[in-house]
Amino acid sequence: MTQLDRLSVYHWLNAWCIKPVGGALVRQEPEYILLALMGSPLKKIMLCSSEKEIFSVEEQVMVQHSVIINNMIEDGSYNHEESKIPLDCVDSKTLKKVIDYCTHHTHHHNDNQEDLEAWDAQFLNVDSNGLYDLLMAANYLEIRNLLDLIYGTIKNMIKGKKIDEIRRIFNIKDHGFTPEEEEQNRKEYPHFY
Amino acid sequence: MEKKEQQQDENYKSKSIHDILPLELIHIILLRVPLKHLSRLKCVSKLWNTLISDPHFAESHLHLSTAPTHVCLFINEYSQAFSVDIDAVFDGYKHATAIKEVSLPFKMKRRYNFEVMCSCRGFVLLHRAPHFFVVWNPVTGSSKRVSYSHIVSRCNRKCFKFPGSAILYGFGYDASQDDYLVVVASQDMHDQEHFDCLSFKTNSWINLDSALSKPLGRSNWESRGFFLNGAIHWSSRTLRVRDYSILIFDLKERSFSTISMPEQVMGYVDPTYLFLLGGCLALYSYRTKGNKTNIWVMKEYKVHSSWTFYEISRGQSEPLCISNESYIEPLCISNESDIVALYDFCSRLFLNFTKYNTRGELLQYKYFDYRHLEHFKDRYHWFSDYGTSYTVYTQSLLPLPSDIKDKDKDKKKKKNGM
Repeated sequence: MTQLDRLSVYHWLNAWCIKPVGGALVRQEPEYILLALMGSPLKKIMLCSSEKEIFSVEEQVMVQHSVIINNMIEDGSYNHEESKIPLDCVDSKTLKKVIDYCTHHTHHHNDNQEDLEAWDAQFLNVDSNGLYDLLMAANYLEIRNLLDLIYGTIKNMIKGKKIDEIRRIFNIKDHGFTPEEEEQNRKEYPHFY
Repeated sequence: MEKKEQQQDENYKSKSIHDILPLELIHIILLRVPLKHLSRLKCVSKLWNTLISDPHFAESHLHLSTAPTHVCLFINEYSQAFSVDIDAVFDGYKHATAIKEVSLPFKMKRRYNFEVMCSCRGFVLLHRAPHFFVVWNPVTGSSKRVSYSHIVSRCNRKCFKFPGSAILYGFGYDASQDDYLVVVASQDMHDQEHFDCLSFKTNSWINLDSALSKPLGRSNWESRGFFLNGAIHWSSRTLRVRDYSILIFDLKERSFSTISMPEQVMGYVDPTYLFLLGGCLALYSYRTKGNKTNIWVMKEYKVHSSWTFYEISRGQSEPLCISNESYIEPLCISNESDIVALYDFCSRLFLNFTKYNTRGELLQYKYFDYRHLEHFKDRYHWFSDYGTSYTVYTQSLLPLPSDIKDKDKDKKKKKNGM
């Protein structure tokens, strides 16, 4: 049995007894606790971005957050020795960020709410394109808490803004209305614009 | 040359959200935006307009909403109406804008008497003199008016007036038919009971006398019904008839049944009223002796053992101390567990709202001065004890079923060059 310090044991018990999977809590059998203590901690998995770059990340981190990855590992389609998980629709920059998010939230999930929220705010301090890429990656990997976070941020970008400003923020150059329709809208709801 | 450079620049700059995100994600973003912002977002782009205007969107938004917007609509005896956004009442920043005057649909120059009756899925049912029901979605503005004159002519009273003249009335949604229904139980001039049902989809009345397996009795039930889970519910007039049950009419099965109130209600010396709280059936009774309000909530629908008791003691709201007879009328749940109530509703000068936690402790108290509202400046008081009505409803964007049909009719008219 490898040397396990208290923190690792805590993490493993946490991961194997009750763990959050895609937002829900799942209880594991006690046999797994034993297995976890006997086996090597910090088992890693390989994720491959669309640019064929490989990222190594703790298995329990991704399993905790991503429903897709958790399902892949649970149904055995992922072979630890050989395979890597190909994520063709996520580029390296975004994948790195997603891994960052999951890792931070796993290791710091006992932090107080304010610190976590501050970290999240800093994490999402990206340009619109980066935000959309993160949203699509989180949607593909089904990472519920990251999705909620991004949707919440976009919702706040929309709330209370005038229409011209919303179009600027989301870069909507062609709104698709005919000139008559646009004029009609502006006449009917001047306070929206 | 300049144009070419400009174009290259355009391509280099970030693309629009429509180009990057797939439709389903934009759809989800819009579903998560609170309702009050959605009408504005319809003007942002044609795509957003199409997504939001889809009737299935309104349905999904209603079900997805974790924090529904509760609005209370009041109509006083002068048929002046105003609405209060209950969540904004207690919000420091939004308090001033929480109250708004509203203009009722089908309001003509001649002053017709309006009264609020019930609400369901974002629609409010109004009674408009002399004999009309008006269904209205205050958010979208769509409304419809249907007459109930056949009930009036059948009755022995020259002026059959809601709600007093009806044995029962209620407004609900039949999901199996995608139809909004109004049901009315009344007595005709020979004291014969009748049960009629109005379908807003077909704009016609159906006779459901056959559903009355046993007589309802002239005043055994509180006439106002509450819609929940596909059925309309009425409480019995407990003190009058010593019957402690809730009458249920299932809109799909078109049949009556009853469930019983908690046993403790039998000991109450004050009247008990039915209402809806947090999507559950609830009862409240104001105990004049001891200045307490008893609230029972049926946490699991039709499960008798799930009746849960809450007590709000007026002594806890000592700072308010307006009069010894001030009582509260519970309205809705806010923040998932706090109970919002109208306090001392018949106060001449203020409209008071109070919020309590589940232990009955007063959390917040806010009031509105009538002078804030334009039309009320000249009035000495907001309401009199008689002639005011209100209902709490949750906002929705839902269209009336036949709204879609009417739109098609308009399109056809345009095509024919009318």
